[in-house]
Amino acid sequence: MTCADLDDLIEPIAAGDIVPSAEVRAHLAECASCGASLALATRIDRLLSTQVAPVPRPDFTAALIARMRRDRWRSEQMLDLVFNLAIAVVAVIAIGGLWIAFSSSGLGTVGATALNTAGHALAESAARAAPQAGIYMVTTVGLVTGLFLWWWAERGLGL
Amino acid sequence: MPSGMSDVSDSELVARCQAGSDEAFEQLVARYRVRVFGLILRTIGETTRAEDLAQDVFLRIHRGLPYFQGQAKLSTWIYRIVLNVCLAEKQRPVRIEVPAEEPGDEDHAPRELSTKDPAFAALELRDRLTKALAQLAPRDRLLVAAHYLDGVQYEDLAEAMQMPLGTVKTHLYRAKQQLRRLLTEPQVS
Repeated sequence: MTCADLDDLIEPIAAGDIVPSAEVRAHLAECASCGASLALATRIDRLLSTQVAPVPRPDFTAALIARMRRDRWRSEQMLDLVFNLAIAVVAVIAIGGLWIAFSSSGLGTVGATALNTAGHALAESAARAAPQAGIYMVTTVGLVTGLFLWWWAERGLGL
Repeated sequence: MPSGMSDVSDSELVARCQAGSDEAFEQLVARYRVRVFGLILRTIGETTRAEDLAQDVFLRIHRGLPYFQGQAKLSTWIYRIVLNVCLAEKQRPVRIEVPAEEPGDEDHAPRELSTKDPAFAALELRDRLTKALAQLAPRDRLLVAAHYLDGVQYEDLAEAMQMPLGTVKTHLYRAKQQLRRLLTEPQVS
């Protein structure tokens, strides 16, 4: 057994992980250098194992929770922004697509004609109905009153 | 601090966290914050940065909890996260704080400032050990911190570091051997 052989065993022996053989014990007893190395390794082991754990500041948990809330809020804001942007992009694409479809298929012209026809028909109907406006008004009031009474009676019965 | 959960097992705590209990997560933080902070501080050596990184560790835990299936122990999983956070930290010169010893150690005995005084010699040894620890590789510092500061068993360290048990022991012995060699080197004043 040489000092070099023993050097790799010093730490396991100091940590109590291996029990030194008779040969190792004999070498340690007669070699001052190896004996001193073992004594130092044992001392290091003891110093390391008696360290006091450092503690974080008292508001560590509160600061952590606050940081988590901040991160969550930011991620929700980001999610909202992405969602809104996605909706806007989809809307623009849909409107653009419809516009292109109407333009290229000639439906746009048909649509304009249909709108004009509907506008004229509406104006004609309004002009025809104007003399009877009073009758329409009384009928509408009567209908609304009837519906209100029906709603009130139903509510009163607790239905 | 949340009350009524201090007796709850880690696996039960995880289950409650996964069910969305903020109280359970606060309890988990309370249970592990000293260990996590201590390991990080011993590895990177800077208190303010260690607190930031400890917060990062708990944020990662919070994000990862829904996917934690309990194949490993909670503590082992947390040590692995600590390891990753510490190793990802930009390499910088470390100033490890002087480790204090528990009351009862001879260092607390009355001493005279003499180089022949054993108490002074012990104080000097501790100071040199502190400086030697700062010279170890970050992984070795974490290994030493986890084993001694937290009393983590070799098996748990091996699982956390995803290394064979024998390799972890070898790394730890070599780290301590390096400390011993650094301590026997002649000091430069």
